[in-house]
Amino acid sequence: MSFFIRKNQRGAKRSNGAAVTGRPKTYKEKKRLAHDDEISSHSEGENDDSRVYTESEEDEETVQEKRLRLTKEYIQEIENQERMRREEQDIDKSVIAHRLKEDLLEQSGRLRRTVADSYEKIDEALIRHLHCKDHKQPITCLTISPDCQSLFTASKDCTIVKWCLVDFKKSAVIKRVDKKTSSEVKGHKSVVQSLSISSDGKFLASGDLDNQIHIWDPITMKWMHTFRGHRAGITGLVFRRGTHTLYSASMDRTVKIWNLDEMSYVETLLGHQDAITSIDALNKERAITAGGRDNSLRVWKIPEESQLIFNGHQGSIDCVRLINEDHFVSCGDDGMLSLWGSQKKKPLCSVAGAHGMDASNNQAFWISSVAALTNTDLIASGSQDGFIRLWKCGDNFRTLTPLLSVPICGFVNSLAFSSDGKMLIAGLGQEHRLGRWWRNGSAKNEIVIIPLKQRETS
Amino acid sequence: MSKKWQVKNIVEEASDIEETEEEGKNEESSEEDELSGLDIPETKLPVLRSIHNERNEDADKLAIREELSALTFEELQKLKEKIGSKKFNQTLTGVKKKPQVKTDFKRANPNRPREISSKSRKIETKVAVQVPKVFRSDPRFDNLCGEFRERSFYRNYDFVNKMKEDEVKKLKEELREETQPRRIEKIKYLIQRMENQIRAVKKRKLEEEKQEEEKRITIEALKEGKSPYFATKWARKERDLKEKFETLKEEGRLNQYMAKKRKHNAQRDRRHMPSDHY
Repeated sequence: MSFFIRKNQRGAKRSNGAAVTGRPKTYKEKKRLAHDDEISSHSEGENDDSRVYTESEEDEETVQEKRLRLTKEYIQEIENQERMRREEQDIDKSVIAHRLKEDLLEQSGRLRRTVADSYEKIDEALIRHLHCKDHKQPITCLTISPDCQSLFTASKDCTIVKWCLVDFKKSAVIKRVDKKTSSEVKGHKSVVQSLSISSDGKFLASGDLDNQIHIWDPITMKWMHTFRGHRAGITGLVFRRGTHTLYSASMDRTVKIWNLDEMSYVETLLGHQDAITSIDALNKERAITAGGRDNSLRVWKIPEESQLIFNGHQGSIDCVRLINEDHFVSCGDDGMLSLWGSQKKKPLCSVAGAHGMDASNNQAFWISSVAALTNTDLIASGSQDGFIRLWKCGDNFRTLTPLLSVPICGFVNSLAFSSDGKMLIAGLGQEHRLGRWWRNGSAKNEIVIIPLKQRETS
Repeated sequence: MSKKWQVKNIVEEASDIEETEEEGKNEESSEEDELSGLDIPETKLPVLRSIHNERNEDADKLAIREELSALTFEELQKLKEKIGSKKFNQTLTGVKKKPQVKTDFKRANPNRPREISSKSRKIETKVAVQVPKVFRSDPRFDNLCGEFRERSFYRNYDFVNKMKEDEVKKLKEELREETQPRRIEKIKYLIQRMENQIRAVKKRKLEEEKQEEEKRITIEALKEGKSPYFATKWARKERDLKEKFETLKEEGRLNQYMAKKRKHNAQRDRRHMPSDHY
């Protein structure tokens, strides 16, 4: 409900804030925009796909009139609320503007909230463990559907399992395939290292170390398409939110872009000097990748065909996650957890030895996975020291303070927050997801669902 | 820490092109690289495969479009899959590059991240200072070391022999207190070695002295105007024998020495005697 109220200058026919972005189509709209009081504060050149253009003038009128009426009612409501809250007769206009701005940001997915402090200590009795016979080997990656109803996990068994998050039971499996099985049955032949689901829940992408990306329908778990084109194993997959564009990162040092509307390959991005370990993206047409031992994180600006290079970490950078469009967090096998801002080439904040020191070889524990609750200040990191640690990004992302730690057993190979912030899901294993340097025999290859509870604000 | 993944020695697509080379094209960037391994026969699409002629763009565009129209749908699909839908659409619509694409990436201040193109296949060389390579040279063949002079060498490194004598004393003390048999063996071996070396050094010094003595005599003779005296080999040998005789006599080992010598000579002479074997 983010509109602007324009004065009625031209009589009956008038436009509202529908012409937020894009070129005005009708002559009348062009004229109106020339007399604008306010200019849209929307982001740079992004098309608002949800807007519908109507051709005929009469329809436009009635829709616009309706919108105008609704907007007025809405603002009236806000005013009433604010009045009740303040118990004053005069309403502060800036407060309403602030509310409108917040709503705009929330709708476009860019509202930032500071929620980390409101999380309570986690009740360990409520933590659920999910096992199944299809995941006998360590879990490598997982992804949660955007409606938080189902969970998809993959393991070193080359299997993909779909779980229902309502009754916490397994609902479907994609089994391993080898040369004996017929070519009609689709599956993965080697370890699945990456999974991703699109933001509308229509496509599930899985990539393995055999250079293949399989696209599945998440509801029926039926095979849809295979993308071949990478020259080495695929280590990261991510969908751009709100679209059907898939970004894939591989050990051949390239990032490839695939369009799932046409099921075609779009382009390749080059630049990394070591196998890419991880990739992430939000709503913008940008992707961020972690380059392993070349110690660089690269933000790929796709429409401009350029990349921004960030330098940091001393060992291999293993995982990177975007917190919001301007900040991201990375972890590595040097035991460091780093917070970055898009304006600075070095990390804003680094915590060395975030998960403690390994007594056996006197080195910091490798941090194998990290997760961030989008547009907030909450981060989770997992390693092999037996704890999942939750951190708070404070002071404009310049400090990292430890918040909570959840005791678990095993290697935390994958972490994900549900989009409503109510659950933290971890994929555990007896081994690291990339190799067998250690094996923790007392751990189980399972998925752990940690319920997060926020304190009631008074 | 070993590398987590073995990054295979992957042949870049650019070098793929060099194998499947069509008529002389330059190694220009991403345009032609994607056409490697395409199933469409080489006779088709000559203009598309050829160099992007910057002078005659319009003519090229038309030519490319004509070529594309001649292809079957299947081939078009393959081409699209190979080069990517973005580039395919660009060639169809004739848009070469969007105006937004920057070629000169300048950042506001040096703290900002560095920006480069995401399409270039050049491998960045690292700017960090590398460890300098150590070049080793053999002093025997190195002109800078000069010629080897034995006398200077011995004079310069004479101090080592003194160190050896001190060490022999220390080793002897150690030997007295040592209990482990292997260690005792080692120390004994070392002591003997060192003593041999010391003895050899002394002998060499004596020889040097004798030579110097001779030289001195000849020089004096020359000075006084007499004819110089050059010793023959036999004379030298005789002199040495005499000296040895004297030293042995003083020490009292002469008899022992003579007995041994006689025995040794007898053994050697016995070889030449006729034997009674048939």
